[in-house]
Amino acid sequence: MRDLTFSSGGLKFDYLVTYPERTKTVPPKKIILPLKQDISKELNLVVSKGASVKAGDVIAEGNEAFLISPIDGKVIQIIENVQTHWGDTCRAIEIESFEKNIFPRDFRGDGGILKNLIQAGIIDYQEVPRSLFSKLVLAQKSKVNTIIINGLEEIISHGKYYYYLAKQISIIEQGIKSIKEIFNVDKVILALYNDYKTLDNVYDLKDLLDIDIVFLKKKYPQHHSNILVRTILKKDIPLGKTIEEVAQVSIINLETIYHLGILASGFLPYRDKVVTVIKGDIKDTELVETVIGASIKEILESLNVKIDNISKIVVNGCIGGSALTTFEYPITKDMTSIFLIYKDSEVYFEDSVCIKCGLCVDVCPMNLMPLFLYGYAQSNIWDFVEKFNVQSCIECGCCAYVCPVNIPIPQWIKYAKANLKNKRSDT
Amino acid sequence: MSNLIVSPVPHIHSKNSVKAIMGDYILALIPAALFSVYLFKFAALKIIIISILSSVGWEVFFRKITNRDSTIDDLTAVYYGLLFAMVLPPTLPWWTILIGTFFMILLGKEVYGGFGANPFNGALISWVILKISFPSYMEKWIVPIKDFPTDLTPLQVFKIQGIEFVHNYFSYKQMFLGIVPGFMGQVSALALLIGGIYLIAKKRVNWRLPVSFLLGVFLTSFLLWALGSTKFGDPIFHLICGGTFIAAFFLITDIPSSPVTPQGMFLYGFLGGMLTVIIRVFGHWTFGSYYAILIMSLFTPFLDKIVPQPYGRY
Ligand code: SF4
Ligand code: SF4
Repeated sequence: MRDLTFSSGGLKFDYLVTYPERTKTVPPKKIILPLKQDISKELNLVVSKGASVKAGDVIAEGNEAFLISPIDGKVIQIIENVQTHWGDTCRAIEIESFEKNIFPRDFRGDGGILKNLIQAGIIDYQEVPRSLFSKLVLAQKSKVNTIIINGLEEIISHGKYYYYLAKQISIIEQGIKSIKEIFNVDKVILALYNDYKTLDNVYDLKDLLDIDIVFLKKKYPQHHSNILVRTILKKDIPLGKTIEEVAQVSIINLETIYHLGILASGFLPYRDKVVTVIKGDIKDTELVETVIGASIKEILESLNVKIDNISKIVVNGCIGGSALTTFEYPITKDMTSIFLIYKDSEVYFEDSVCIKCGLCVDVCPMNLMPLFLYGYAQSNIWDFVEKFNVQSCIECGCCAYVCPVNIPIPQWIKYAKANLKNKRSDT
Repeated sequence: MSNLIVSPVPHIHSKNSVKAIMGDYILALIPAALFSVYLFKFAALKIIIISILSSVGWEVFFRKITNRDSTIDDLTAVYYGLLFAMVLPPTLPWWTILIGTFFMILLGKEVYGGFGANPFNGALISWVILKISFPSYMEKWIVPIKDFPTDLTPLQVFKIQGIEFVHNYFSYKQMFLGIVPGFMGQVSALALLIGGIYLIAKKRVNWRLPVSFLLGVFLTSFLLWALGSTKFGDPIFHLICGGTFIAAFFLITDIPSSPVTPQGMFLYGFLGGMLTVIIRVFGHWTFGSYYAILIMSLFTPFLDKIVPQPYGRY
């Protein structure tokens, strides 16, 4: 069978997808945990300043996913107004580690799989982080009968998903069994880049668990959930509708499967975190094993990265992904990668005259007209911005990536969307 | 120490630039330019040099008097200088070239605020200006080899004497290789084809434009040839003579003046090809493709309105 890909637009990339040679464990001295690890409401703190906590203690509760202390330590402060990288604000709790007691693996959830899911605080990340529990509720409402496991990282050549499948296959196997059970579905499709074809573990999984594997060409943004559904199921998701409603399918990240696997093997709630650190060059990567809440600065220091030369930190992507405001930002549950951009390779986008080369039209995976969106947004002609379907833009950045005059098209699109939203709330 | 840069996607860039695009366009014109120097010797070299230098000069001049940053390092002036030389006869006096490049930079770029905002291809506009102002200079040719049976271009022979004479004077091979009188860079279909394939392979031009243009030329001339009589010229003749290839790869593909949507490009190219043959066969002028493309670029804003159906919208 030929490898699948989506039809219009996108950016081909030819990095060989595999996993980094180096892995490093970084036990943090202190951790910061934002009380929003997904897009739902802020969690309720159940500990206060000065309290001692043990690894595994609940520190904040909510309806969908709890937050559990990853380390033994003392709560030293509650920080107000922390900005999450998807643009929300919330409080955060800071815990200082008691020495030596770093990775205990000695607790279990209780009370059945659903309760465990909430208590363990499992989060799934596609375009935004959502609790797995809320995805389950949506799946049940929409009578979902298929799960697509999204095993695609952005354009990372040496990522951690390959590492999971190559080195942690028994955990992944457990995770797939759990997701089938929890969502009560028979059909599971594992979506991977075609470089995984050489990995025997993949075929073992297929035979053992009776799942389908689809191999996809390396093209950005194939990992985006709408585009994944369009590619695999040939279904287009209308604006404002969910994938669950339209295609009766839930998309679950391979990362989430890994955490479910850990949970099902009787170990931990959502606590350990493997992140790929990409040091400027897409091929220069390292895997870091740490816990949620660890500060990025501490991680970089332990990797001997000179932070003075860094101008930008991007999480969850290289072309896409979101830029962080500070080095002090902690690892959150949704993070898969940290991309460091050095000062000398920073790209500057600025407004210049569009030369009408049409490259942006060519690469837009949603078949939009990025040059018009930019043009009309710049001249504040909102009717036209809307007429050219600004709301369908998935903000992947393909357009500005190829633009020969470096126009920050997605920035204008964000600006237009915000303006249209304001206008609507005015009337 | 929050001195991190925060910006929306994308966080890396393809390193594409106008300079890189123009660099490839210049490379793609080199075979045609070399061929013109081979065929017309020093006369051709002189025109190429004057045209490039003067268009860069005019650009510097206009930028100075309007007090704006220089853009010569994006290579647009160099490329358009070279392209303009390719559509001139090898005998043109030096001062007419200066007039040509003046209008090319002014009307093809500067009055609109810079490269990209211009609705027409500057090289074609100033070609028309020269053609109207100095018709006799624009039709003075150099015969490529001694004792050549005619000193007219194949298209002129076709227009004035008829298609039989074309076949008497020129073989297909001669026309394809470019051993004929004509504008400097348009004579050799082969040299242009090499450059064109390079541009398509490097994705500098969208294949839809040249392919639809050539298809337009071929189908229209085929239809006329099949319906009418041989007097309209056969499709092969229309494909390899008189600037069809320079139009297909370098003129219809002009970045600012061509449409940006797939459907728009296809229509633009196809109608341009059709019009080329119609002007050649029924019109007063011989150089159909240049006029056809200028006329088509009037429709670009309209063609840009035919946008593809976005995903997720019904
Ligand atoms: S950011 Fe929006 S407009 Fe640009 S390519 Fe992506 S979907 Fe298209
Ligand atoms: S890629 Fe940039 S220059 Fe080209 S048409 Fe799009 S916005 Fe204009």
